[in-house]
Amino acid sequence: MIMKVKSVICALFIILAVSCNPFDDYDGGFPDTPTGNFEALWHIMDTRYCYFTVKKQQLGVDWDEVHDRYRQSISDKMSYYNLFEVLAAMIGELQDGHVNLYGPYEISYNSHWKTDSLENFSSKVQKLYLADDYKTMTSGYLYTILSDNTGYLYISSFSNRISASQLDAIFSYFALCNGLIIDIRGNGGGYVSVAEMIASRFTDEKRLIGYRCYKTGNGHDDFSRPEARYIESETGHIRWQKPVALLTNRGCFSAANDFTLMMKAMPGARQFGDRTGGGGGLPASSELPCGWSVRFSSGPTFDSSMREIETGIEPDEKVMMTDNDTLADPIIEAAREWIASMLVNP
Amino acid sequence: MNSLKIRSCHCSSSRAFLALLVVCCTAASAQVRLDLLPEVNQSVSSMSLGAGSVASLDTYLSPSEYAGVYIAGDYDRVSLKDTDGFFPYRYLYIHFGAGLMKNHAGTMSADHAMIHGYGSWSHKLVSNGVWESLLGISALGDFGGVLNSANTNNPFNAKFQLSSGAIFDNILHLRLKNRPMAFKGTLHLPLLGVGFAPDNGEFYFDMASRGNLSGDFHVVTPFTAQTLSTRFALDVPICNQVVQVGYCMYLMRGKLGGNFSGLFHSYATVGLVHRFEHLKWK
Repeated sequence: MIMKVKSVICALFIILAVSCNPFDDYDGGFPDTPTGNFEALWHIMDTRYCYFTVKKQQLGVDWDEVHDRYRQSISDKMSYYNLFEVLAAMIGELQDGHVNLYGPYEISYNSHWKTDSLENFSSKVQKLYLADDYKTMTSGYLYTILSDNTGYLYISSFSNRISASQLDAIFSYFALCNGLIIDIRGNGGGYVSVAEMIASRFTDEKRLIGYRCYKTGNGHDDFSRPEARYIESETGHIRWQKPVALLTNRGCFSAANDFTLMMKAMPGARQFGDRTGGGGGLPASSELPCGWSVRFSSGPTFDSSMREIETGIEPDEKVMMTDNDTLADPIIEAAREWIASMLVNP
Repeated sequence: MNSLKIRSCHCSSSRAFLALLVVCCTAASAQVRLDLLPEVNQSVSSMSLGAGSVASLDTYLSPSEYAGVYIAGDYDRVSLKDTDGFFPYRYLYIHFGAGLMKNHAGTMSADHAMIHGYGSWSHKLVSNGVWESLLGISALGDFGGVLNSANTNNPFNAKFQLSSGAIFDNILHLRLKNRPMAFKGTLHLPLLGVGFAPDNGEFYFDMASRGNLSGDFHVVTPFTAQTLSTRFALDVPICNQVVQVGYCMYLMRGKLGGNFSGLFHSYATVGLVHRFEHLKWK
């Protein structure tokens, strides 16, 4: 009987022991106060953001100094509205389009990557090329055939999914063209998988496009061994083997930056326009004790020569568009000239 | 059952001798028939549904703790086989569960689903008609995942563990107003196995494109990750059925791949018990 009582007591003790908060001893949490949220955000970024070394070289950002400077603006008596302003300003120091704070009132956003240069794109001028008889497949995909028998495909975002059969239809339409212009100017990104799907139509073999790392520790430079990234040929669907010109500007960010990286690996492709806006980091998200979300770059991407692409990808042929270019787009014209020259001298 | 009763008779010695011959022959043939009798394997199974609470802290997805409601379905089966063997008791437990959780601020939600099951082979420590105490070895499998809406770019973390461990069962046979009841308590402790966890900030997107998960499996011991599950159940006969009311608890916590991952759910269950005997013909 004593044994029975002992075993019941033992079982109850185990239940009581673990029925309390089982994660109390995990010391990674911060209190839901302005100070706690400030420290939580700084700590999340400090341990998981992947571009501190790049930002220190590029912008002189010292994350410890940023902490000390912004900590002076934090008080537990401040409103959460003011707290959001301070926290948004703190992460804004990184000038990274992949760093956002999502609060109940607004989303902090950094557009420095595209506003420090000419826009190099005009929708009014683009309409001169598209005319009134352009085609559209799905939202954000406009295409037509220009007067010199060059195909023109404008992709405004990779956030819009497109199917393999829809891509087949577009490439079938371009089948008799001399070459193809893919215009991704102003494309702020979207799904990398969509970018990969389109890029895979331009290769007939598996190609190395670059490398990617991920954080393996809390240190600013704790990264995994670079993993090679390849793009496979799209078998069973129409592939494009003629010249292809890619038009970029600073508005090309994130998945559009990645698409540029992929297209640079293709043998018949050439990039025109301005340097892309960057956004080479694979974004991840976390959250603060008050429930606000924070997004940040957590995995750096490199090109096939292990060059950083966070600050953008330089074009093969730099062509700028000024406000005086109202009757023709010099970037499109440069691409057409190159395609025409490829016909004569492939 | 195995004995053959002989009526004594007070007859002559010759009749007695004849009777002895008949008895010997009959006894021999009876022995043969006994060998042919089937072996009886007893099994008790139960199916139950439950509801309770769940809490999760998974730093791969978020540094915040999530908590919410949990619904579950359980199946268990205890079989008594090979009564002369060292492990006569076989136990099978399968659990399906799903939870819906919120963070403390109530701004973000997470979904959790898992299949958890183990089989065990137990040795009888005590059996005195009132109390049975069993100790055994177990093989466990956990499959599941957490989907966190706060982490838009990498919202999912899988849970996978295969391990072996120890299981301790106690069954108390009670009577209340001549109604037989059974109170069962089970404590299960996985001790050695292998578990899956992404390496720090590794992306599932990259894992899929790389197609190599070898670095994401880790040896699981009580020093790296602690898993504990307990079940308590009371079998009560009501009308012509045996109803089981129970309480279950599962805790998994540990730091694998550089991330802390904790999961705790507890819930009350109600179900039905089926007792049956399986005849195994020789």
